[in-house]
Amino acid sequence: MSIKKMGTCTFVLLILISTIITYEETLSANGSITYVYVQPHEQTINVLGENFTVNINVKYALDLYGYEFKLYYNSTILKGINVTEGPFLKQKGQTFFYIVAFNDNYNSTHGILWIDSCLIGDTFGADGDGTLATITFKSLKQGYSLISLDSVELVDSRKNPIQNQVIDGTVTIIPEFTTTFQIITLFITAATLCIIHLFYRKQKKRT
Amino acid sequence: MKKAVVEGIVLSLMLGLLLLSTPAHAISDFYAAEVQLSGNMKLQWYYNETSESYELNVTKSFLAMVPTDISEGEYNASFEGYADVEQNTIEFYGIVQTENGEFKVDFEVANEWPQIPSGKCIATGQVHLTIQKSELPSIQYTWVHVAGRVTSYGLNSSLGWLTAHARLSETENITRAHVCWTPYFLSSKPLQNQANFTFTFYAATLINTTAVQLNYNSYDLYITGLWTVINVTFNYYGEDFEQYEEYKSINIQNATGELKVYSGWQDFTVSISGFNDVGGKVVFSRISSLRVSECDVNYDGHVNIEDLVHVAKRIGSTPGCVMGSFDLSNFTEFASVDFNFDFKIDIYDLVSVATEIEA
Repeated sequence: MSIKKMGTCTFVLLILISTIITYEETLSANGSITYVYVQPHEQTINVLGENFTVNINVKYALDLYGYEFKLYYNSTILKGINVTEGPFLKQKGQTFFYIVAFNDNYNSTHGILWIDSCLIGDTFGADGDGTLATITFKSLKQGYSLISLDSVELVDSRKNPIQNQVIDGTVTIIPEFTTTFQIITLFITAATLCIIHLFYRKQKKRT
Repeated sequence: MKKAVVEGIVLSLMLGLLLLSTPAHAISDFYAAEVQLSGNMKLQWYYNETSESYELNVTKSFLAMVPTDISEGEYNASFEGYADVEQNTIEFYGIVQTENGEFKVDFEVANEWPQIPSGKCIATGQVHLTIQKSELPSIQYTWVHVAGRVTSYGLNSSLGWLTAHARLSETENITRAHVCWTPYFLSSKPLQNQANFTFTFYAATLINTTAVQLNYNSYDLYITGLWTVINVTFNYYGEDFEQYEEYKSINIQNATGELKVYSGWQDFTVSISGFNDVGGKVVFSRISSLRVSECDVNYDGHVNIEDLVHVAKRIGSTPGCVMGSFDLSNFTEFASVDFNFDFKIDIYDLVSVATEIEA
């Protein structure tokens, strides 16, 4: 490997490491703010047509009675399949989970998930960390999608807003080569090498 | 004969088992009590894997609704809830658990601990309670709820809505009133090929009530006080007008004004100084000695899951656009679920209903 290539690889690695460190530090920096974040933060899917899940989690919640969020995703590479309520609010009692919108056609490139959910009755909210919702997507084609949270509102049992910070996630679809594709590629490579070898031998004989 | 006796015994046993399996707290009533609380409270803030805590010695007397399962007397209890720390006060709210049951408490103490960070945190504690029945005077309340559709502003036709809620008693009156109206008549739907649709309306809120009276002179309801009026502009654009921008600006503050409902709860007029009279038709009115909740959006006398679903279906709605249908004539439908008067239906309106549903 050339020095130039090694340098490029090191640079890419450093960027990846610093991204992970920044993400961890953001979550641990301030306990007084509640975080709503996509988990896993980064996800790579190797198979096309495969279903996979993304959680919307909350961290450092205090008296969380209800929440609302919109989530946008690249619908040219992901298809929204399903959404289910997470266990976080349910631990405090009966809940109301309402999907306002979930479709792949928010615009020509993006899909939307819009959820409103709250506890029911005269009760206090939930504290701590947990999962608010789990979304299932299907990988459609190779590419990259931001899983972007927007208009996140958290409300306590006294109908006051809870300050929050949002951390988005990403999904990368990189399909692995199938066995058939690998055999064909191997065969073509071997055949090409043979042809080159024969060509050089012929050239050598002539000289 | 023997068979009948055996069947009777079996039935009695089944009934007994059913009664035993019914939780006692499900049928408990409450009484008003003076509660004296003293003990140590622990305030905790969480930072990642670590936490910061402060211990305070608190003594306070306050009123609470205590279940009849917990009789008058002294109790050792645990407190679990929250503390809202401000510069001068700390408000505790949560649940105290005694050996005979639990109940909600909410009390405030002076903040004598300047080292405690401000904000909301978890509060727990072991406390001693002295519970004494309170001789609260029985107050007779009258609840009033009026909703109306604005039809005129001065001599012009107008679109808009009115909502007013009042709790009247001999000692105090609590009133909420809002009225919105367009200053001129508007086409209720945008014209064909119109790229965007912009309209402005006035939004008035009663901020200080001077007087509220039922059957005052020739009026069924009369409310007078100070009003704040703002100008609100909505600019809808995009395909099917699904996107919008909203602008708000204060027009006038503390303007004197009155709301009059008359003609047997059929008509209303709002007169605010500096503006023409706003007139309209009452679409709903209710007077009751039982609490009337504004969250009872289907007017069946109860706040339940049906009201919650009704509001949920309207999430994302704005004035003029309810459930994706763009029509300014549906102003009143929008107003009936915009409980916090912020001109959009969202989680705050949903939570307003959810907290009122009885478990």
